[in-house]
Amino acid sequence: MRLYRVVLRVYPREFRDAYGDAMVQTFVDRHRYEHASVWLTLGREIFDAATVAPTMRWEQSMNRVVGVAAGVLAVAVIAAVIGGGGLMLLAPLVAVAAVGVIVAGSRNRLHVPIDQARRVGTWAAAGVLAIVIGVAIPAIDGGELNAFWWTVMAACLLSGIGLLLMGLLLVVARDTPRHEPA
Amino acid sequence: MADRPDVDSFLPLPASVMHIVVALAEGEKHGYAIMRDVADLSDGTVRMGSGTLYGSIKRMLDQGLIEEAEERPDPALDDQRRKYYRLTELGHRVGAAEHARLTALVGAARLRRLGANFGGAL
Repeated sequence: MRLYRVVLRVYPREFRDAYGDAMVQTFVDRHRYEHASVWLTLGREIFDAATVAPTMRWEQSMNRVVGVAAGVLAVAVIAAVIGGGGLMLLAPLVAVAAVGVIVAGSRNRLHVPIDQARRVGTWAAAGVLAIVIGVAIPAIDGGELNAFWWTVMAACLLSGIGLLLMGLLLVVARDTPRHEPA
Repeated sequence: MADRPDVDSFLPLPASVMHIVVALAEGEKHGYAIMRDVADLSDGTVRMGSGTLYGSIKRMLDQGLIEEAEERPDPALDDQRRKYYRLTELGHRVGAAEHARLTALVGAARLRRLGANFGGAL
């Protein structure tokens, strides 16, 4: 039993906290009712953990990637607001963050519920479109922006960032369990 | 009216998830009972370890296909660590849709006499 608890440590902490006790009980049941040796049962569980746990940990790290993407977005926005000319910095950073969110969301890599994954992709795609339009405005206008085009550009960038953040929020919201363990 | 998830967006179900859905179709079960039932249903060809089982259970809970049953058959005789799960209404609908999809696929395979020339069962 103690050895099995050691094996459980390969799973992410969040998963272990939620299902560790139930998994131990299942291990005990397997040993008790299948009349298999404890070493054979343990060996099977180690094999199972070796195949399943890396995927879980990878998905967890992908969640961190989305967190980093949100941080990059925030830094880019601050740089643009403070630096004025930080738009040159903003565009590639936002693009990288947006691509990360879209790829993660659309491929359902983050265990985003399937119906939600599509919504994440839609919000993120709309956000990228708005930002691309905002960044393109100075180029179209030759760099000489009057008050009107500044306003349009700012509106596009801010709404784009808002849409991207909405996509991020949907990804984060999927972590909220629909059921609370008793 | 509440926003009902599109059942088709869940399809095709991963094999492990469909096995769990079928195991829970007859009522609520705890982890080990699901594990045994899946092994029995598949003539022993699908044997889930605890990580596979509870990984699938976690995903199904997140997707709203199953829920934890609050009441226990007999708390005095049962270990508190055991958790019982049952299909939600969405889980039943998704399971039925996957059943229909697989039935249609098997029907098509039968119509085309898949494997018949090679001693197949169809």
